[in-house]
Amino acid sequence: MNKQVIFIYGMGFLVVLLSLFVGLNGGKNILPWHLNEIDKVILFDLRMPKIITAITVGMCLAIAGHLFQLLLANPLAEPSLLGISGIASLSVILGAAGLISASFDFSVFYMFLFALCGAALAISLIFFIAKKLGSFASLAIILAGICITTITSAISSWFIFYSNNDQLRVFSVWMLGSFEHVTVKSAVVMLLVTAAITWFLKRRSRLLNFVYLGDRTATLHGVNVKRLRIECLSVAALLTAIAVSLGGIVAFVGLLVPHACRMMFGNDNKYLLTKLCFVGAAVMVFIEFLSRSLMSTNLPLALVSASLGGPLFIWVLFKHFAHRGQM
Amino acid sequence: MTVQVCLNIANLNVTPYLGFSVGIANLQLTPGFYHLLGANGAGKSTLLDCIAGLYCETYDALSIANDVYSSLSLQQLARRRAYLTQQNQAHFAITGYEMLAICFDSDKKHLKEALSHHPVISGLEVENLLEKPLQFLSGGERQRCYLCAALLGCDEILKPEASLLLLDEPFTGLDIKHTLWLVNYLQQISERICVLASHHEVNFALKSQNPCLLMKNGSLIGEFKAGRDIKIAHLVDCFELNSAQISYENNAYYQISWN
Repeated sequence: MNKQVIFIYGMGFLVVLLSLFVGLNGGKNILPWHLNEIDKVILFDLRMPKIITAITVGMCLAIAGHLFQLLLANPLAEPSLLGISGIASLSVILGAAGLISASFDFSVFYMFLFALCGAALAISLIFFIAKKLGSFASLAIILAGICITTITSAISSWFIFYSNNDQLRVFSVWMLGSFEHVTVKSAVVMLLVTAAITWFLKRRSRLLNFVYLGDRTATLHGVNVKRLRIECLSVAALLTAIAVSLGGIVAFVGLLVPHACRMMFGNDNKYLLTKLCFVGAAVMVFIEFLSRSLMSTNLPLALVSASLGGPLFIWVLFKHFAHRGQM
Repeated sequence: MTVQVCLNIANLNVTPYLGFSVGIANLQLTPGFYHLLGANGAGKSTLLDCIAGLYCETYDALSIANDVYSSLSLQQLARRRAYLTQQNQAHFAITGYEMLAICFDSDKKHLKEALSHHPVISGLEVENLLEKPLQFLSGGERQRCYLCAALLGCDEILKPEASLLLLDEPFTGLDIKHTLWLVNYLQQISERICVLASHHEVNFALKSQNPCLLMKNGSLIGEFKAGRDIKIAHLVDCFELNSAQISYENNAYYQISWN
Protein backbone atom coordinates (compact mmCIF):
# COMPACT_ATOMS: atom_id res chain seq x y z
CA MET A 1 0.00 0.00 0.00
CA ASN A 2 1.63 3.28 -1.04
CA LYS A 3 1.73 6.53 0.97
CA GLN A 4 -1.03 8.15 -1.09
CA VAL A 5 -3.46 5.32 -0.36
CA ILE A 6 -2.62 5.39 3.38
CA PHE A 7 -3.12 9.18 3.40
CA ILE A 8 -6.49 8.90 1.66
CA TYR A 9 -7.66 6.12 4.00
CA GLY A 10 -6.48 8.14 7.01
CA MET A 11 -8.37 11.21 5.79
CA GLY A 12 -11.51 9.12 5.33
CA PHE A 13 -11.25 7.77 8.85
CA LEU A 14 -10.75 11.31 10.21
CA VAL A 15 -13.82 12.54 8.31
CA VAL A 16 -15.97 9.86 9.97
CA LEU A 17 -14.62 10.80 13.43
CA LEU A 18 -15.18 14.49 12.67
CA SER A 19 -18.73 13.81 11.56
CA LEU A 20 -19.46 11.75 14.69
CA PHE A 21 -18.08 14.05 17.35
CA VAL A 22 -18.03 17.61 15.99
CA GLY A 23 -21.14 19.76 15.76
CA LEU A 24 -19.89 23.26 14.76
CA ASN A 25 -22.83 25.69 14.35
CA GLY A 26 -25.52 23.07 13.86
CA GLY A 27 -24.98 20.74 16.81
CA LYS A 28 -23.17 19.71 19.93
CA ASN A 29 -19.45 18.91 20.13
CA ILE A 30 -19.04 15.55 21.87
CA LEU A 31 -15.99 14.25 23.73
CA PRO A 32 -15.70 10.49 23.07
CA TRP A 33 -14.15 9.83 26.51
CA HIS A 34 -16.93 11.68 28.35
CA LEU A 35 -20.32 10.52 27.07
CA ASN A 36 -23.53 11.33 28.93
CA GLU A 37 -27.00 10.03 28.05
CA ILE A 38 -27.79 12.96 25.76
CA ASP A 39 -24.48 12.48 23.94
CA LYS A 40 -25.28 8.80 23.43
CA VAL A 41 -28.67 9.67 21.94
CA ILE A 42 -27.07 12.24 19.63
CA LEU A 43 -24.31 9.83 18.59
CA PHE A 44 -26.23 6.59 18.15
CA ASP A 45 -29.76 7.75 17.29
CA LEU A 46 -29.13 10.94 15.36
CA ARG A 47 -25.66 10.94 13.84
CA MET A 48 -24.89 7.23 13.35
CA PRO A 49 -27.85 6.50 11.00
CA LYS A 50 -26.96 9.51 8.89
CA ILE A 51 -23.30 8.51 8.69
CA ILE A 52 -24.14 4.92 7.69
CA THR A 53 -26.60 6.29 5.13
CA ALA A 54 -23.97 8.72 3.83
CA ILE A 55 -21.47 5.87 3.49
CA THR A 56 -24.03 3.79 1.53
CA VAL A 57 -25.10 6.67 -0.71
CA GLY A 58 -21.47 7.69 -1.35
CA MET A 59 -20.54 4.13 -2.33
CA CYS A 60 -23.59 3.81 -4.60
CA LEU A 61 -23.07 7.12 -6.36
CA ALA A 62 -19.31 6.66 -6.85
CA ILE A 63 -19.64 3.16 -8.30
CA ALA A 64 -22.72 4.01 -10.38
CA GLY A 65 -20.96 7.13 -11.73
CA HIS A 66 -17.87 5.12 -12.64
CA LEU A 67 -19.95 2.43 -14.37
CA PHE A 68 -21.90 5.01 -16.37
CA GLN A 69 -18.71 6.83 -17.40
CA LEU A 70 -16.92 3.61 -18.32
CA LEU A 71 -19.75 1.79 -20.11
CA LEU A 72 -20.95 4.87 -21.98
CA ALA A 73 -17.37 5.97 -22.76
CA ASN A 74 -18.36 9.42 -21.61
CA PRO A 75 -16.40 11.32 -18.96
CA LEU A 76 -19.43 13.53 -18.22
CA ALA A 77 -21.77 10.62 -17.49
CA GLU A 78 -23.29 10.27 -14.02
CA PRO A 79 -26.45 8.64 -12.62
CA SER A 80 -28.63 11.55 -13.78
CA LEU A 81 -27.38 11.58 -17.41
CA LEU A 82 -29.65 8.78 -18.56
CA GLY A 83 -32.60 10.04 -16.52
CA ILE A 84 -32.45 7.06 -14.16
CA SER A 85 -32.21 9.11 -10.95
CA GLY A 86 -34.88 11.47 -12.37
CA ILE A 87 -37.45 8.70 -12.94
CA ALA A 88 -36.48 6.97 -9.67
CA SER A 89 -37.08 10.14 -7.64
CA LEU A 90 -40.27 10.94 -9.56
CA SER A 91 -41.68 7.51 -8.82
CA VAL A 92 -40.76 7.90 -5.12
CA ILE A 93 -42.65 11.21 -5.02
CA LEU A 94 -45.64 9.75 -6.83
CA GLY A 95 -45.57 6.72 -4.55
CA ALA A 96 -45.32 8.92 -1.46
CA ALA A 97 -48.22 11.08 -2.65
CA GLY A 98 -50.35 8.00 -3.33
CA LEU A 99 -49.54 6.12 -0.12
CA ILE A 100 -49.68 9.12 2.20
CA SER A 101 -53.07 10.16 0.79
CA ALA A 102 -54.18 6.58 1.53
CA SER A 103 -52.91 7.04 5.14
CA PHE A 104 -50.22 4.41 4.62
CA ASP A 105 -46.92 4.39 6.53
CA PHE A 106 -44.28 5.36 3.96
CA SER A 107 -40.94 3.89 5.11
CA VAL A 108 -37.53 3.66 3.44
CA PHE A 109 -38.44 0.18 2.21
CA TYR A 110 -41.33 1.57 0.15
CA MET A 111 -39.18 4.45 -1.05
CA PHE A 112 -36.59 1.92 -2.25
CA LEU A 113 -39.30 -0.16 -3.88
CA PHE A 114 -40.67 2.84 -5.80
CA ALA A 115 -37.16 4.06 -6.69
CA LEU A 116 -36.29 0.58 -7.92
CA CYS A 117 -39.44 0.42 -10.06
CA GLY A 118 -38.60 3.85 -11.50
CA ALA A 119 -34.98 2.89 -12.21
CA ALA A 120 -36.06 -0.43 -13.75
CA LEU A 121 -38.58 1.37 -15.95
CA ALA A 122 -35.96 3.90 -17.02
CA ILE A 123 -33.27 1.34 -17.88
CA SER A 124 -35.81 -0.88 -19.69
CA LEU A 125 -36.98 2.07 -21.79
CA ILE A 126 -33.37 3.01 -22.54
CA PHE A 127 -32.52 -0.52 -23.68
CA PHE A 128 -35.74 -0.69 -25.70
CA ILE A 129 -34.99 2.59 -27.52
CA ALA A 130 -31.31 1.60 -28.00
CA LYS A 131 -32.43 -1.71 -29.53
CA LYS A 132 -34.76 0.11 -31.90
CA LEU A 133 -31.84 2.38 -32.82
CA GLY A 134 -30.00 -0.78 -33.86
CA SER A 135 -27.28 -1.23 -31.26
CA PHE A 136 -26.33 -1.23 -27.62
CA ALA A 137 -23.33 1.01 -28.29
CA SER A 138 -22.70 3.92 -25.94
CA LEU A 139 -24.01 6.57 -28.35
CA ALA A 140 -27.37 4.82 -28.83
CA ILE A 141 -27.77 4.42 -25.07
CA ILE A 142 -26.89 8.08 -24.38
CA LEU A 143 -29.39 9.24 -27.02
CA ALA A 144 -32.05 6.99 -25.49
CA GLY A 145 -31.15 8.35 -22.05
CA ILE A 146 -31.53 11.93 -23.23
CA CYS A 147 -35.05 11.09 -24.47
CA ILE A 148 -35.90 9.65 -21.04
CA THR A 149 -34.41 12.67 -19.22
CA THR A 150 -36.47 15.05 -21.36
CA ILE A 151 -39.70 13.12 -20.73
CA THR A 152 -39.01 12.91 -16.98
CA SER A 153 -38.24 16.60 -16.80
CA ALA A 154 -41.51 17.35 -18.63
CA ILE A 155 -43.55 15.17 -16.23
CA SER A 156 -41.85 16.81 -13.21
CA SER A 157 -42.60 20.25 -14.63
CA TRP A 158 -46.30 19.33 -15.01
CA PHE A 159 -46.40 18.26 -11.36
CA ILE A 160 -44.65 21.41 -10.19
CA PHE A 161 -47.05 23.54 -12.27
CA TYR A 162 -50.13 21.95 -10.69
CA SER A 163 -48.85 21.70 -7.08
CA ASN A 164 -49.73 24.10 -4.31
CA ASN A 165 -47.04 25.88 -2.27
CA ASP A 166 -46.70 23.21 0.44
CA GLN A 167 -46.51 20.35 -2.05
CA LEU A 168 -44.00 22.33 -4.10
CA ARG A 169 -41.74 22.80 -1.07
CA VAL A 170 -41.90 19.08 -0.14
CA PHE A 171 -41.15 18.21 -3.76
CA SER A 172 -38.22 20.64 -3.97
CA VAL A 173 -36.69 19.58 -0.63
CA TRP A 174 -36.86 15.93 -1.67
CA MET A 175 -35.16 16.74 -4.97
CA LEU A 176 -32.36 18.53 -3.06
CA GLY A 177 -31.56 15.48 -0.94
CA SER A 178 -31.88 14.60 2.73
CA PHE A 179 -31.13 11.68 5.09
CA GLU A 180 -33.71 12.67 7.72
CA HIS A 181 -36.09 9.77 7.05
CA VAL A 182 -33.56 6.92 7.27
CA THR A 183 -33.34 4.54 10.27
CA VAL A 184 -30.23 2.58 11.33
CA LYS A 185 -31.81 -0.72 10.36
CA SER A 186 -32.72 0.37 6.83
CA ALA A 187 -29.34 2.05 6.36
CA VAL A 188 -27.47 -1.12 7.40
CA VAL A 189 -29.59 -3.30 5.10
CA MET A 190 -28.88 -0.99 2.15
CA LEU A 191 -25.17 -0.95 3.06
CA LEU A 192 -25.08 -4.75 2.94
CA VAL A 193 -26.89 -4.79 -0.42
CA THR A 194 -24.38 -2.24 -1.76
CA ALA A 195 -21.45 -4.31 -0.47
CA ALA A 196 -22.87 -7.41 -2.22
CA ILE A 197 -23.23 -5.45 -5.48
CA THR A 198 -19.63 -4.23 -5.18
CA TRP A 199 -18.46 -7.84 -4.73
CA PHE A 200 -20.47 -8.83 -7.83
CA LEU A 201 -18.79 -6.06 -9.83
CA LYS A 202 -15.33 -6.92 -8.54
CA ARG A 203 -15.79 -10.38 -10.02
CA ARG A 204 -16.35 -8.68 -13.37
CA SER A 205 -13.45 -6.23 -13.02
CA ARG A 206 -11.32 -8.01 -15.63
CA LEU A 207 -14.11 -7.77 -18.22
CA LEU A 208 -14.83 -4.17 -17.26
CA ASN A 209 -11.15 -3.32 -17.81
CA PHE A 210 -11.45 -4.34 -21.48
CA VAL A 211 -14.18 -1.71 -21.98
CA TYR A 212 -11.47 0.96 -21.50
CA LEU A 213 -10.00 -0.21 -24.82
CA GLY A 214 -13.24 0.29 -26.76
CA ASP A 215 -16.02 -2.09 -27.80
CA ARG A 216 -14.14 -3.48 -30.78
CA THR A 217 -10.95 -4.32 -28.91
CA ALA A 218 -12.95 -5.76 -26.02
CA THR A 219 -14.86 -8.00 -28.46
CA LEU A 220 -11.57 -9.10 -30.04
CA HIS A 221 -10.43 -10.24 -26.60
CA GLY A 222 -13.51 -12.38 -26.20
CA VAL A 223 -15.69 -10.04 -24.15
CA ASN A 224 -19.43 -10.07 -24.86
CA VAL A 225 -19.68 -6.28 -24.68
CA LYS A 226 -23.43 -6.11 -25.26
CA ARG A 227 -24.20 -8.48 -22.39
CA LEU A 228 -21.67 -6.80 -20.09
CA ARG A 229 -23.13 -3.37 -20.85
CA ILE A 230 -26.73 -4.48 -20.20
CA GLU A 231 -25.71 -6.31 -17.02
CA CYS A 232 -23.57 -3.54 -15.52
CA LEU A 233 -25.85 -0.66 -16.53
CA SER A 234 -28.71 -2.52 -14.81
CA VAL A 235 -26.53 -2.81 -11.70
CA ALA A 236 -25.70 0.90 -11.94
CA ALA A 237 -29.45 1.63 -12.14
CA LEU A 238 -29.99 -0.47 -8.99
CA LEU A 239 -27.26 1.47 -7.18
CA THR A 240 -28.89 4.72 -8.31
CA ALA A 241 -32.23 3.52 -6.97
CA ILE A 242 -30.64 2.80 -3.57
CA ALA A 243 -28.99 6.24 -3.49
CA VAL A 244 -32.22 8.01 -4.50
CA SER A 245 -34.35 6.13 -1.96
CA LEU A 246 -31.91 7.00 0.82
CA GLY A 247 -31.01 10.58 -0.03
CA GLY A 248 -32.85 11.96 -3.07
CA ILE A 249 -30.80 13.39 -5.91
CA VAL A 250 -27.28 14.34 -4.80
CA ALA A 251 -25.36 16.09 -7.53
CA PHE A 252 -21.67 15.88 -8.45
CA VAL A 253 -20.58 12.94 -6.22
CA GLY A 254 -21.28 10.47 -9.03
CA LEU A 255 -19.43 12.67 -11.49
CA LEU A 256 -16.41 13.87 -9.54
CA VAL A 257 -15.44 10.97 -7.29
CA PRO A 258 -14.82 8.50 -10.18
CA HIS A 259 -12.61 11.05 -11.95
CA ALA A 260 -10.67 11.81 -8.78
CA CYS A 261 -10.20 8.11 -7.99
CA ARG A 262 -9.04 7.22 -11.50
CA MET A 263 -6.52 10.06 -11.35
CA MET A 264 -5.25 9.07 -7.91
CA PHE A 265 -5.33 5.27 -8.06
CA GLY A 266 -5.19 4.37 -11.76
CA ASN A 267 -7.82 2.75 -13.94
CA ASP A 268 -7.59 -0.94 -13.01
CA ASN A 269 -11.06 -1.98 -11.82
CA LYS A 270 -9.56 -4.78 -9.73
CA TYR A 271 -8.35 -2.15 -7.26
CA LEU A 272 -10.41 0.87 -8.27
CA LEU A 273 -13.85 -0.39 -7.19
CA THR A 274 -12.87 -0.73 -3.53
CA LYS A 275 -11.24 2.69 -3.52
CA LEU A 276 -14.27 4.22 -5.21
CA CYS A 277 -16.39 2.87 -2.36
CA PHE A 278 -14.06 4.31 0.22
CA VAL A 279 -13.60 7.76 -1.32
CA GLY A 280 -17.30 8.05 -2.28
CA ALA A 281 -18.28 7.18 1.28
CA ALA A 282 -15.78 9.64 2.78
CA VAL A 283 -16.89 12.47 0.49
CA MET A 284 -20.57 11.83 1.22
CA VAL A 285 -19.95 11.69 4.98
CA PHE A 286 -18.15 15.04 4.73
CA ILE A 287 -21.03 16.54 2.71
CA GLU A 288 -23.52 15.24 5.26
CA PHE A 289 -21.38 16.69 8.09
CA LEU A 290 -21.30 20.11 6.42
CA SER A 291 -25.03 20.01 5.66
CA ARG A 292 -25.93 19.64 9.33
CA SER A 293 -23.16 21.61 11.01
CA LEU A 294 -22.58 24.71 8.87
CA MET A 295 -25.86 26.42 9.83
CA SER A 296 -28.31 26.11 12.66
CA THR A 297 -30.73 24.30 10.30
CA ASN A 298 -29.94 21.27 8.15
CA LEU A 299 -29.01 22.25 4.61
CA PRO A 300 -30.13 20.07 1.66
CA LEU A 301 -27.35 17.69 0.59
CA ALA A 302 -27.46 18.60 -3.09
CA LEU A 303 -27.01 22.26 -2.16
CA VAL A 304 -23.78 21.49 -0.30
CA SER A 305 -22.50 18.95 -2.83
CA ALA A 306 -23.11 21.26 -5.79
CA SER A 307 -21.61 24.27 -3.98
CA LEU A 308 -18.45 22.29 -3.22
CA GLY A 309 -18.39 20.21 -6.39
CA GLY A 310 -18.63 23.03 -8.94
CA PRO A 311 -15.52 24.96 -7.87
CA LEU A 312 -13.66 21.71 -7.12
CA PHE A 313 -14.40 20.44 -10.63
CA ILE A 314 -13.07 23.67 -12.17
CA TRP A 315 -9.91 23.33 -10.03
CA VAL A 316 -9.42 19.71 -11.15
CA LEU A 317 -9.95 20.69 -14.79
CA PHE A 318 -7.35 23.45 -14.63
CA LYS A 319 -4.86 21.35 -12.68
CA HIS A 320 -4.99 18.17 -14.73
CA PHE A 321 -6.55 18.92 -18.09
CA ALA A 322 -5.33 22.36 -19.06
CA HIS A 323 -4.34 22.47 -22.78
CA ARG A 324 -5.27 18.82 -23.27
CA GLY A 325 -8.76 19.27 -24.63
CA GLN A 326 -9.84 15.68 -23.98
CA MET A 327 -10.47 13.58 -20.93
CA MET B 1 7.20 -32.77 -44.85
CA THR B 2 3.71 -31.40 -44.17
CA VAL B 3 3.36 -27.64 -44.04
CA GLN B 4 1.44 -26.24 -41.09
CA VAL B 5 -1.72 -24.43 -42.24
CA CYS B 6 -2.27 -21.38 -40.03
CA LEU B 7 -5.47 -20.15 -41.63
CA ASN B 8 -7.92 -21.83 -43.95
CA ILE B 9 -10.77 -20.01 -45.67
CA ALA B 10 -13.43 -21.93 -47.59
CA ASN B 11 -16.51 -20.30 -49.12
CA LEU B 12 -16.36 -17.14 -47.06
CA ASN B 13 -19.14 -14.70 -47.77
CA VAL B 14 -20.09 -11.70 -45.67
CA THR B 15 -22.18 -8.61 -46.29
CA PRO B 16 -21.14 -5.95 -43.76
CA TYR B 17 -23.62 -3.46 -45.18
CA LEU B 18 -26.16 -3.33 -47.97
CA GLY B 19 -24.57 -3.26 -51.41
CA PHE B 20 -21.12 -4.50 -50.41
CA SER B 21 -19.95 -8.01 -49.74
CA VAL B 22 -16.65 -9.83 -49.35
CA GLY B 23 -16.35 -13.32 -50.79
CA ILE B 24 -13.35 -15.66 -50.81
CA ALA B 25 -13.81 -19.11 -52.36
CA ASN B 26 -10.65 -20.75 -51.09
CA LEU B 27 -7.47 -19.55 -49.39
CA GLN B 28 -4.84 -21.31 -47.31
CA LEU B 29 -2.16 -19.42 -45.45
CA THR B 30 0.95 -21.07 -44.01
CA PRO B 31 3.63 -19.34 -41.91
CA GLY B 32 4.88 -16.33 -43.84
CA PHE B 33 4.56 -12.60 -44.29
CA TYR B 34 1.60 -11.87 -46.61
CA HIS B 35 0.88 -8.46 -48.10
CA LEU B 36 -2.81 -7.74 -48.60
CA LEU B 37 -3.08 -5.03 -51.25
CA GLY B 38 -5.97 -3.22 -52.85
CA ALA B 39 -7.52 0.16 -53.44
CA ASN B 40 -9.54 1.96 -50.77
CA GLY B 41 -12.83 0.18 -50.22
CA ALA B 42 -11.61 -3.08 -51.76
CA GLY B 43 -12.67 -4.99 -48.63
CA LYS B 44 -9.26 -5.54 -46.99
CA SER B 45 -10.31 -4.40 -43.51
CA THR B 46 -13.59 -6.35 -43.74
CA LEU B 47 -11.64 -9.49 -44.65
CA LEU B 48 -9.28 -8.94 -41.71
CA ASP B 49 -12.28 -8.37 -39.40
CA CYS B 50 -13.78 -11.67 -40.60
CA ILE B 51 -10.52 -13.51 -40.01
CA ALA B 52 -10.25 -11.87 -36.59
CA GLY B 53 -13.66 -13.32 -35.70
CA LEU B 54 -15.77 -10.16 -35.63
CA TYR B 55 -18.42 -11.63 -37.97
CA CYS B 56 -19.90 -14.71 -36.29
CA GLU B 57 -21.85 -15.63 -39.45
CA THR B 58 -18.51 -16.53 -41.12
CA TYR B 59 -17.25 -18.88 -38.40
CA ASP B 60 -17.99 -22.06 -40.37
CA ALA B 61 -15.92 -20.79 -43.30
CA LEU B 62 -12.80 -20.15 -41.23
CA SER B 63 -10.36 -22.38 -39.41
CA ILE B 64 -7.21 -21.52 -37.52
CA ALA B 65 -4.52 -24.20 -37.13
CA ASN B 66 -7.08 -26.83 -38.29
CA ASP B 67 -9.74 -25.77 -35.75
CA VAL B 68 -12.96 -24.34 -37.18
CA TYR B 69 -13.84 -20.98 -35.59
CA SER B 70 -17.30 -22.27 -34.64
CA SER B 71 -15.63 -24.86 -32.38
CA LEU B 72 -13.72 -22.16 -30.50
CA SER B 73 -14.91 -19.57 -27.99
CA LEU B 74 -13.94 -15.94 -28.60
CA GLN B 75 -11.48 -16.18 -25.70
CA GLN B 76 -9.81 -19.25 -27.25
CA LEU B 77 -9.66 -17.49 -30.60
CA ALA B 78 -8.18 -14.38 -28.93
CA ARG B 79 -5.30 -16.49 -27.63
CA ARG B 80 -4.56 -17.79 -31.13
CA ARG B 81 -4.50 -14.57 -33.10
CA ALA B 82 -3.41 -11.00 -32.57
CA TYR B 83 -4.95 -8.10 -34.46
CA LEU B 84 -3.90 -4.50 -34.97
CA THR B 85 -7.07 -2.69 -36.02
CA GLN B 86 -7.06 0.47 -38.06
CA GLN B 87 -9.03 2.50 -35.54
CA ASN B 88 -8.27 2.07 -31.88
CA GLN B 89 -10.15 4.06 -29.27
CA ALA B 90 -8.94 3.83 -25.69
CA HIS B 91 -11.16 5.75 -23.30
CA PHE B 92 -10.09 7.99 -20.45
CA ALA B 93 -6.44 8.51 -19.59
CA ILE B 94 -5.41 4.88 -20.11
CA THR B 95 -1.63 4.53 -20.37
CA GLY B 96 0.12 2.11 -22.68
CA TYR B 97 1.22 -0.10 -19.77
CA GLU B 98 -2.35 -0.14 -18.45
CA MET B 99 -3.52 -1.25 -21.90
CA LEU B 100 -0.94 -4.05 -21.94
CA ALA B 101 -1.85 -5.05 -18.37
CA ILE B 102 -5.50 -5.38 -19.45
CA CYS B 103 -4.63 -7.34 -22.59
CA PHE B 104 -2.34 -9.75 -20.70
CA ASP B 105 -4.43 -9.82 -17.51
CA SER B 106 -1.42 -8.86 -15.48
CA ASP B 107 -0.36 -6.31 -12.93
CA LYS B 108 1.06 -3.14 -14.48
CA LYS B 109 4.17 -3.14 -12.29
CA HIS B 110 5.05 -6.77 -12.93
CA LEU B 111 4.38 -6.46 -16.64
CA LYS B 112 6.65 -3.43 -16.84
CA GLU B 113 9.49 -5.36 -15.25
CA ALA B 114 8.88 -8.45 -17.38
CA LEU B 115 8.87 -6.48 -20.64
CA SER B 116 11.71 -4.07 -19.91
CA HIS B 117 14.19 -5.95 -22.15
CA HIS B 118 11.73 -7.30 -24.70
CA PRO B 119 12.88 -6.72 -28.32
CA VAL B 120 9.48 -5.28 -29.28
CA ILE B 121 9.69 -2.62 -26.56
CA SER B 122 13.23 -1.66 -27.51
CA GLY B 123 12.68 -1.96 -31.27
CA LEU B 124 9.62 0.28 -31.29
CA GLU B 125 11.21 2.52 -28.61
CA VAL B 126 8.02 2.66 -26.59
CA GLU B 127 9.33 2.23 -23.04
CA ASN B 128 8.68 5.89 -22.15
CA LEU B 129 5.60 6.24 -24.37
CA LEU B 130 3.86 3.39 -22.56
CA GLU B 131 3.99 5.42 -19.35
CA LYS B 132 1.84 8.18 -20.87
CA PRO B 133 -1.92 8.26 -21.53
CA LEU B 134 -2.53 7.03 -25.08
CA GLN B 135 -4.85 9.93 -25.83
CA PHE B 136 -2.08 12.46 -25.34
CA LEU B 137 0.40 10.85 -27.74
CA SER B 138 0.91 11.84 -31.38
CA GLY B 139 -0.59 9.61 -34.08
CA GLY B 140 2.70 7.83 -34.83
CA GLU B 141 3.57 7.35 -31.16
CA ARG B 142 0.11 5.93 -30.47
CA GLN B 143 0.45 3.59 -33.47
CA ARG B 144 3.75 2.31 -32.03
CA CYS B 145 2.04 1.56 -28.70
CA TYR B 146 -0.85 -0.30 -30.37
CA LEU B 147 1.65 -2.15 -32.60
CA CYS B 148 3.55 -3.12 -29.47
CA ALA B 149 0.35 -4.64 -28.00
CA ALA B 150 -0.37 -6.54 -31.25
CA LEU B 151 3.19 -7.86 -31.61
CA LEU B 152 3.31 -8.94 -27.96
CA GLY B 153 -0.06 -10.62 -28.54
CA CYS B 154 1.66 -13.18 -30.77
CA ASP B 155 4.91 -13.41 -28.86
CA GLU B 156 6.35 -16.90 -28.66
CA ILE B 157 6.70 -16.80 -24.86
CA LEU B 158 3.79 -14.58 -23.82
CA LYS B 159 1.24 -16.16 -26.17
CA PRO B 160 2.62 -19.56 -27.25
CA GLU B 161 -0.72 -20.59 -28.84
CA ALA B 162 -0.75 -17.67 -31.32
CA SER B 163 -0.38 -18.67 -34.95
CA LEU B 164 -1.81 -15.65 -36.75
CA LEU B 165 -1.01 -11.92 -36.71
CA LEU B 166 -3.39 -9.58 -38.55
CA LEU B 167 -2.24 -6.04 -39.20
CA ASP B 168 -4.49 -3.38 -40.69
CA GLU B 169 -2.32 -0.58 -42.05
CA PRO B 170 0.57 -1.12 -39.63
CA PHE B 171 2.85 1.43 -41.31
CA THR B 172 0.43 4.35 -40.95
CA GLY B 173 2.05 7.14 -38.97
CA LEU B 174 5.36 5.33 -38.50
CA ASP B 175 8.63 7.07 -39.37
CA ILE B 176 11.07 5.29 -41.67
CA LYS B 177 13.27 4.02 -38.80
CA HIS B 178 10.43 2.24 -37.06
CA THR B 179 8.95 1.08 -40.37
CA LEU B 180 12.20 -0.66 -41.25
CA TRP B 181 12.45 -2.21 -37.79
CA LEU B 182 8.87 -3.46 -38.08
CA VAL B 183 9.44 -5.00 -41.51
CA ASN B 184 12.53 -6.78 -40.22
CA TYR B 185 10.70 -8.04 -37.12
CA LEU B 186 7.71 -9.25 -39.14
CA GLN B 187 10.07 -11.16 -41.46
CA GLN B 188 11.57 -12.85 -38.41
CA ILE B 189 8.32 -13.93 -36.77
CA SER B 190 6.81 -14.97 -40.10
CA GLU B 191 9.06 -18.04 -40.00
CA ARG B 192 6.94 -19.25 -37.08
CA ILE B 193 3.46 -17.75 -37.63
CA CYS B 194 1.32 -16.30 -40.42
CA VAL B 195 1.48 -12.51 -40.69
CA LEU B 196 -1.22 -10.95 -42.85
CA ALA B 197 -0.74 -7.20 -43.29
CA SER B 198 -3.05 -4.92 -45.21
CA HIS B 199 -1.28 -1.74 -46.26
CA HIS B 200 -0.71 0.77 -49.06
CA GLU B 201 3.09 0.47 -49.39
CA VAL B 202 2.72 -1.04 -52.87
CA ASN B 203 6.33 -0.37 -53.90
CA PHE B 204 7.59 -2.21 -50.84
CA ALA B 205 5.37 -5.20 -51.56
CA LEU B 206 6.44 -5.25 -55.22
CA LYS B 207 10.11 -5.37 -54.26
CA SER B 208 9.66 -8.00 -51.58
CA GLN B 209 9.94 -11.75 -51.89
CA ASN B 210 6.88 -12.21 -49.70
CA PRO B 211 3.56 -13.54 -50.96
CA CYS B 212 0.99 -10.92 -51.98
CA LEU B 213 -2.81 -11.01 -52.18
CA LEU B 214 -4.62 -8.51 -54.39
CA MET B 215 -8.20 -7.52 -53.57
CA LYS B 216 -10.79 -5.68 -55.58
CA ASN B 217 -14.50 -5.15 -54.92
CA GLY B 218 -14.54 -7.63 -52.06
CA SER B 219 -12.86 -10.48 -53.96
CA LEU B 220 -9.36 -11.84 -54.28
CA ILE B 221 -8.19 -11.11 -57.81
CA GLY B 222 -4.69 -12.44 -57.45
CA GLU B 223 -2.50 -14.58 -55.24
CA PHE B 224 1.24 -14.31 -55.84
CA LYS B 225 4.17 -16.18 -54.29
CA ALA B 226 6.30 -13.03 -54.33
CA GLY B 227 5.72 -9.33 -54.96
CA ARG B 228 8.00 -9.56 -57.96
CA ASP B 229 5.51 -11.87 -59.66
CA ILE B 230 2.92 -9.09 -59.88
CA LYS B 231 2.67 -7.74 -63.41
CA ILE B 232 1.73 -4.29 -64.64
CA ALA B 233 -1.62 -5.62 -65.83
CA HIS B 234 -2.46 -6.74 -62.30
CA LEU B 235 -1.66 -3.31 -60.86
CA VAL B 236 -3.65 -1.56 -63.57
CA ASP B 237 -6.63 -3.79 -62.82
CA CYS B 238 -6.35 -3.69 -59.04
CA PHE B 239 -5.71 0.03 -58.53
CA GLU B 240 -7.28 1.32 -61.75
CA LEU B 241 -4.01 2.93 -62.76
CA ASN B 242 -2.86 4.07 -66.16
CA SER B 243 -0.07 1.71 -67.27
CA ALA B 244 2.03 4.76 -68.19
CA GLN B 245 2.13 5.64 -64.49
CA ILE B 246 4.05 2.47 -63.67
CA SER B 247 7.76 2.59 -64.43
CA TYR B 248 10.56 0.07 -64.14
CA GLU B 249 13.04 2.63 -62.93
CA ASN B 250 13.29 4.48 -59.73
CA ASN B 251 13.80 8.15 -60.43
CA ALA B 252 14.53 9.22 -56.87
CA TYR B 253 17.96 10.69 -56.11
CA TYR B 254 18.21 8.72 -52.90
CA GLN B 255 16.32 5.66 -51.77
CA ILE B 256 16.22 3.95 -48.41
CA SER B 257 16.34 0.23 -48.94
CA TRP B 258 13.49 -1.86 -47.55
CA ASN B 259 15.86 -4.78 -47.02
